[in-house]
Amino acid sequence: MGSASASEFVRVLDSRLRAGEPVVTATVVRIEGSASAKPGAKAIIDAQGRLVWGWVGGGCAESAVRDAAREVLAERRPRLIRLDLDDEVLGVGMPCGGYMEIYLEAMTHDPKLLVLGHGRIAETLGMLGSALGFHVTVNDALATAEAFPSANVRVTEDPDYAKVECDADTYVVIATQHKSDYEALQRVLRQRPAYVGLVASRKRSALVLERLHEDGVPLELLRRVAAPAGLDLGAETPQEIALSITAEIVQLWRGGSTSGQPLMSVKGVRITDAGVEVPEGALESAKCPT
Amino acid sequence: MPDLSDTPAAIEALYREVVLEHYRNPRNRAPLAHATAEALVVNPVCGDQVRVEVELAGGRIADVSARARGCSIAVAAGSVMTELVRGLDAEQARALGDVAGRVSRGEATDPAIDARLRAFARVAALPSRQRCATLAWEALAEALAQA
Repeated sequence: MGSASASEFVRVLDSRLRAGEPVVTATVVRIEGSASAKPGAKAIIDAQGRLVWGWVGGGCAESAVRDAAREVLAERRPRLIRLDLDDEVLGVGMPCGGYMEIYLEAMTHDPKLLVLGHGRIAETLGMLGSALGFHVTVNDALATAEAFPSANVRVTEDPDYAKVECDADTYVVIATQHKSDYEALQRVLRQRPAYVGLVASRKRSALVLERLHEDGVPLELLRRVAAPAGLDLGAETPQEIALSITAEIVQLWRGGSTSGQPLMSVKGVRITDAGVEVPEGALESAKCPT
Repeated sequence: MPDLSDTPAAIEALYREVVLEHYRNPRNRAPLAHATAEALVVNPVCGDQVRVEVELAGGRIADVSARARGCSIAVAAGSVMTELVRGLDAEQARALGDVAGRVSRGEATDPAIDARLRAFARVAALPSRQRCATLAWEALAEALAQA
């Protein structure tokens, strides 16, 4: 890719991400035989599988890349696909006589963290969110630059949450210290964010959830609320509580199917009276030269 | 309506009945289509905020709304305020705001005062909460000053 096309690639990618449109970049990383696209060739594919820029091969290779791109975007995990351009029946149906490997990677705009409230928990959430690459918005009358130095947006005048906007990529934490938390949930749930966490005691959580239920909020929406918010880390201080909530958000952001258990247990590493136990085969690929 | 006397028990009963009811069902929250003036007041101590909009017609408050984000007292006080000031002129509304302030500081206990205002006499014993009861009245006064 020459410098002119490199800058065009960056421009198109930047423009899509700024518009909040996730895309997939496809890069040819290896070819054998007479594949049409060369290593380094790039393309940008949108969420509908449409080629919006570039080229990594035509015909059935292109349609295979588009299909894979949609899956990569859904899973948000990079993938290396191998295209057999030789076998017309079992390959991609395009007998050019070659073989290609294409690296696909989802490019999404930063996930969004919306913090409603102020205080140490809210401040730490803002700090951790920024460090993790979230686009952080804090909505509270006391959302000063001093309290939330790394926040991208601070909304200080919004008595009825009219400026609260979230979407399927927004992680919302309501840390209003119980004030107007019912109204906040009413406003937020209708917009179906990725996560809604309520910082509250068990009693307060139950009261608010029951009231929402009584007022006709569907159970399907109520089930989206984490109340009390956070993973059970034994957190006590505001900063620790913020960490437990951030951990819950990361777990969801990274697929939501993980156990939340200690990695040592998940990976099967154990220290027993007999010594160190690891799952069979775990050491084979990790031996250090002696 | 509970006993209108100003015994502590009666004040407590009134507080629970009026404040909690208005907190759970705040009146006149919708933005006004033809607001003449508006003001937003924030309590910098706790972050509670109240936006008040007024529509004046012929020198009187034809319509008013209060949207409060804060504690139960701030929300209820905004709701009660909107019920009491419709039809008043600016001077009358400000005077009523003064009464609300004196009630919340324990300085006014006249049974002739509207029960919805006297309900806030309970906060006289809670100095840190007194401004919660007057925040909406402050916003109203600020909006009227701009009209």
